[in-house]
Amino acid sequence: MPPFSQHQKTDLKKSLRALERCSDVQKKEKSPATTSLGLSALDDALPDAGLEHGVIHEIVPQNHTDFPAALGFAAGLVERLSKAHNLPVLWCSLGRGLDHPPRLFPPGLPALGLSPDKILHIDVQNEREMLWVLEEALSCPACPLLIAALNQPEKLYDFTASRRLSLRAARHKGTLFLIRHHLANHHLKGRGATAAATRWSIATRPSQPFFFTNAKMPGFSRPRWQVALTRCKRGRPNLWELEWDHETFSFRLAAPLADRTTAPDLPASTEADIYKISAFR
Amino acid sequence: MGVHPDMSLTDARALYPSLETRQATPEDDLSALHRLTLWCLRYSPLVTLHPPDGIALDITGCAHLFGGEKAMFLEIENRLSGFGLTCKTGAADTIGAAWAAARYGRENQTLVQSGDHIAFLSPLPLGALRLPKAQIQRLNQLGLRKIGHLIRAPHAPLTSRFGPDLIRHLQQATGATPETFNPLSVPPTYTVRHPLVEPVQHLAAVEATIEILARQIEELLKTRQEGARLLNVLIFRVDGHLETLNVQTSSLCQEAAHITLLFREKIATLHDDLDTGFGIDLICMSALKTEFMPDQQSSLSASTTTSPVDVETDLATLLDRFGNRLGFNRITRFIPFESYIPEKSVRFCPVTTLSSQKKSPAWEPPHSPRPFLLFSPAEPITVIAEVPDGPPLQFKWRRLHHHITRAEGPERLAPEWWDVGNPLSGLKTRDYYRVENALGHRFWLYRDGLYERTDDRPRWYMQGLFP
Repeated sequence: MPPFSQHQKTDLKKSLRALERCSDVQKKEKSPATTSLGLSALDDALPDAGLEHGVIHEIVPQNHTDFPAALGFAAGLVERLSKAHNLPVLWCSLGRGLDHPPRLFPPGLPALGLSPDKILHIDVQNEREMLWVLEEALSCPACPLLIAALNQPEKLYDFTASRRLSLRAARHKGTLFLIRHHLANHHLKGRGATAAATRWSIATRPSQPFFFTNAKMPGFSRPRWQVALTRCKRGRPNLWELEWDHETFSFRLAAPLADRTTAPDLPASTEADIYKISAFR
Repeated sequence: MGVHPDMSLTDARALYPSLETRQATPEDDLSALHRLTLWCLRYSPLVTLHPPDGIALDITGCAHLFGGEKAMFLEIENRLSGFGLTCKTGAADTIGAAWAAARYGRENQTLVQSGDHIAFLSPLPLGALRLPKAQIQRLNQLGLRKIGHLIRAPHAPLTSRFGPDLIRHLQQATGATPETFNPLSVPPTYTVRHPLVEPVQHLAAVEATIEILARQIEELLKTRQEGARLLNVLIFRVDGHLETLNVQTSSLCQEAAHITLLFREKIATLHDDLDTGFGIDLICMSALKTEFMPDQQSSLSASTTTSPVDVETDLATLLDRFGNRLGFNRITRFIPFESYIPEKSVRFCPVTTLSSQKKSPAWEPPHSPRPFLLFSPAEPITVIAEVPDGPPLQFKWRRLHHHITRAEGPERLAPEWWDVGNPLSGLKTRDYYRVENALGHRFWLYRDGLYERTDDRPRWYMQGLFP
C-alpha cells in the first residue's frame, strides 16, 4: 500500500475530528431535548422524562396483523412531538413490494392528532430507496419528523445503516420513527443490534366493550395496545396496556380488571369510574 | 452507374450485376432520421423531420453563429459525411422553397437569396411542390410541367379540378400563405452552450461543464428575474448520439449550485447507462419552463438561526432531489376531493403541481371514525352476517378467519346521484361497519348493494384498517 501523502493525511485527520465532534455532542449534552408523552408511567421509564429528539425510535409490531397498531402508536408519538413547530411530517411508505398494500388514508389521521395538510408522503419502491430518502431527509433541517414503515422483511437495514441514520439525525435533531417488519422480533433475539435509541414492541388488545342499549353487539371505544419498551439506553424497559384517546390526543393506561376475590380496600380510581359510566350509558 | 431511386430491381441488376441489395426497413429509417433530427438541435433550437428523407431546421438568427449560411452548410456536410451520410442542403425564405432547394438544387448546397425564391422555383418541375405523384402526372398531361406554369395559370379552375391542396402547396412555397413549422421539441426559453475543443470521455469533465453552464443560466435567469421549473441538458456525442437529461423542480429555481446538484445526481443514477462513446463535443443547457420570480430576502444572521424562507428553500431543495430520483408523482401531499366514496375522497397531488395551484381546499373533520389505512380497490371477503342488514359476525380475509366481537354500523354511503345506477361507474349504495375481531384488530368493512333492490347482488369488501 502506498504511503499517504501529507495532504491526504490532513484530510483524514480533519474528517476524523469532525466525526469525533459529532459523537461528543451526543455524549456531552447532559439533558438532550425531550418531549413528555403526557403519561407519567411512560415518562418514568424513559431517561430524562420524555421521548428524545434527534434519534431513531424503532417500533416493532409483534405480528404482521399488528402493523396498523404499530403505525398508529408511531403516529401518536409524532403527534406529541409535532406540537412544537409547524414543519411538515415526512411519511415514507414502502408499498409497491406487497400485493395490495393499504394506502395512507388522510381522513383517518385527525383521530391520531395529525393534520393531513402537514403530511408529505413519499412512496418508495424498495428498501434501498427508503434508506436513501431517510438519510437525505434527516440531513435536512426542514423536516425534523419522519415516519417510515418498513413492511417488508429487512435486507439492508442493519447496525451500519441505523448508525448512519442516527448520526445524521443527531446533527440536525431530526427524529425518525421507524416501523420495522414483525420478523425483526425473531432476529432481535440474537444478533441484529441497531443504533436506535428506543425500541417499542406493539401488540393489539381487545378494546373496552361499549354497550349500546339496542345493539346486538358491543361497539368499540378507544383502541387498546400492549406497548412494551424493549430497549432503551438509561431507561427501564417495561410493559403497559395503553389506550389512545382520540378526543384529547393522549395515551392513558387501560384500567386493569377488578379483582373480585377480595373486597376492594382502595377506592376505585377515577379512570375506572369513567369507564363504568361510559359502559352503562 | 445509372442506378437511381424508383428503379425496378431487375433493371438495376442488369446495369450492375453485383449490386448489393437489402430489404427496406422504413420504420428503422424513420427512427434513425428522428435521432439525426434531434442531433441537429446543435444547429438550431427549432428542428423537425420531413419524412422519409428530410430534416428541416429553422436557422433564423442561427447561421451567423457558424459564420454564415455557406459555412454552416459546410459544417453540416462535413459532420454528416463523418457519419457516412451524403446530404444535400438548401435554404430559402419559405419552408416549401427550402424543401425544393435541398432536393432540386443544382449543387449540393443551394442557397436561395432572400426574395429570389419565386424566380428559383419557376423553372423547377412540379415534383418540387410536395404533390402526390398521380396529381403531377395529370398536371403534366395538361401541359403544366413547371412551377412557373402553375404560378401564371388562373387558380380558380385549378382548385375546382384538383382540390384546394394543389394551390395551398403552391402558395406555401411562394410565401403567399403561411406554413407552420412544427418543431420536434419545445423550444427553450434560455439556452447556453459549451462546445468542447477536444471530445471528452470522462464524466467528471461533463459534470464540470454542467457547473459552468449552470452558472451561465443562473446569470441569465437572475438578470431577467425569472426562475425555471424544468431544465434540460443535451449531451452531443461525436458519433451523432444525443443524450437528454431532464430535471424538474418543485419551486422556481435559479441557483447554480442547486441546478448542478440535481444534474450531478441525475448523472450519478445514470452512471452506467450514460455511455460517452468516442467522446462528447458539445453540451447545451436549457431552461424550458420559466416564470417570474421576485428576489427573496434570505436571513442576514448566521446560518444557525433558521428563518421561514430558509426552511422553505431547504425543503424545496430536498423535494427536488427526491423528485428527480424517484419521480415527482411519488412525492405527494393530500388534497381532499368532494365525494362520499372513500377511494375518491382523496387526491394525491405531486408537490410540483401543488405549488402552482393557488389554495387547496381545507380538510373537514369526518362525521364518524375513519380508518387511516385504506385498500383501494377494496378487497372482496366472505362474510357471515344477518340478512338483510345485521352486522357481520365472521369473515374470511386473506385466508384468515376473523371472529367479530365488536361492531358498529351501518353507516350508509351512497354514490353521487349521477353515479347511481350508472353501469359504467359500477358504484352501488354501501353499508359500512366498523368491526373488531377477538384479538383487537379493527377493520372497516362494507356491503356493496342492498338486499331490497332486485338488481343488486350484495357482496362484502374489506375497505380499511383502524389503528
